Amino acid sequence: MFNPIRSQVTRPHTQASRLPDRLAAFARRVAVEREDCSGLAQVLHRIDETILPRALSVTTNTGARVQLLVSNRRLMRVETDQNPAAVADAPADPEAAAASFSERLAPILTPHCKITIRSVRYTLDAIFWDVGCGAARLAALMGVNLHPEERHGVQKCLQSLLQPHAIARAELSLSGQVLSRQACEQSQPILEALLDWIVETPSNSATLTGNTMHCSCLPLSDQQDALIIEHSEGHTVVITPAEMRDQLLSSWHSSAAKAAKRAQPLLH
Amino acid sequence: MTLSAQLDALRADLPGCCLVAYGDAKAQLVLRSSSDSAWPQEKLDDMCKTGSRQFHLADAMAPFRKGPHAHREAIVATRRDIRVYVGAEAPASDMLCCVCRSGADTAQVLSLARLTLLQVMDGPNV
Repeated sequence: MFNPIRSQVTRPHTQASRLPDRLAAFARRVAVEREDCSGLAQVLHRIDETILPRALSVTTNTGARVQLLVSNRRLMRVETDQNPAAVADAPADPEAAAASFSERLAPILTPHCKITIRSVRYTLDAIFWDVGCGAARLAALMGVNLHPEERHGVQKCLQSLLQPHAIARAELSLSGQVLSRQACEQSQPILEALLDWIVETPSNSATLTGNTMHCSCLPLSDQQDALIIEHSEGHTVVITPAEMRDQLLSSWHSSAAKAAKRAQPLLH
Repeated sequence: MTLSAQLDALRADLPGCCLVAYGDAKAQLVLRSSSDSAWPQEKLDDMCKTGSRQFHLADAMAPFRKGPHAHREAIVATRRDIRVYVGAEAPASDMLCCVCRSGADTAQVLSLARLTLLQVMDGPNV
């Protein structure tokens, strides 16, 4: 009696063969998501996704040009026709870099301009020491939402979970402007104190360091918690019943994890 | 009981807790920790910094905090975990941070962490 011989035919859909399809599908999805992005948002996304050193040449539909040096998800140098880069002018810290770069980029990358990006490999010399700045800080200074999908995730979570339980609620923009406010008489002072603290201590904001998507919960009493959600467009402040805390934190957690997955960087 | 043993005991009492750290909120440094894997010191210190910022908020909200919550305490949900901070009342700056998986019972973590912090501060081994 012979043992049956196991078939040696290669399975048609191995992990390896599906990978290019998956990458192509991902690229299509990203392209669709960014269809409506402005030129500025496209450039910021490119900075946020570029890890290896690249020299980007950006041309707008009006013919303006800007040269960018990007590495390790940071914008290192900006050179325009009016402002040629000089090593001696390199900003000394990320905050100064973001301020200087946003000033140079603003007149060229207007909110509704269309752009073409040409990317070439770049070798950083051994003495390269520029600190540069991250896309998140640049986006905040230039008033652009870098990760609209994060906002979508947070908004979805807020609408379905936080809103039905919110005793009080307020939305703040990145600049600290109160966009909306909703509170009953008892919770009004608490909400005001929270808003004052956030506005008066901007250095406490995680969004300023590019470390977005935090949800801080401050237990106020056995009945109430204060939730402060920091996202790419500012802060959402909510006072909620303490009994809902774990459920709300878990739901926020899974929603933030999904948003983070969608916003993962690509290696070019 | 040594400080390390107290931190180990707290971690063992909290299901899903991967790190318990004792630090100084004013200096923003972690002085001792108990964890299931090695954590780089800079990550521990960053965590301490976040705790310190949260305690500033807790101080600002002091008139509105009642009951056991009169202590400095805060919970921060990051993308990966939930961090529970408990701090001593000012001017002391001792603090404990427990890093737990999502879905942790935060009331239990807060209450046990509060108790451990009091024991640590009263004990001779700090």
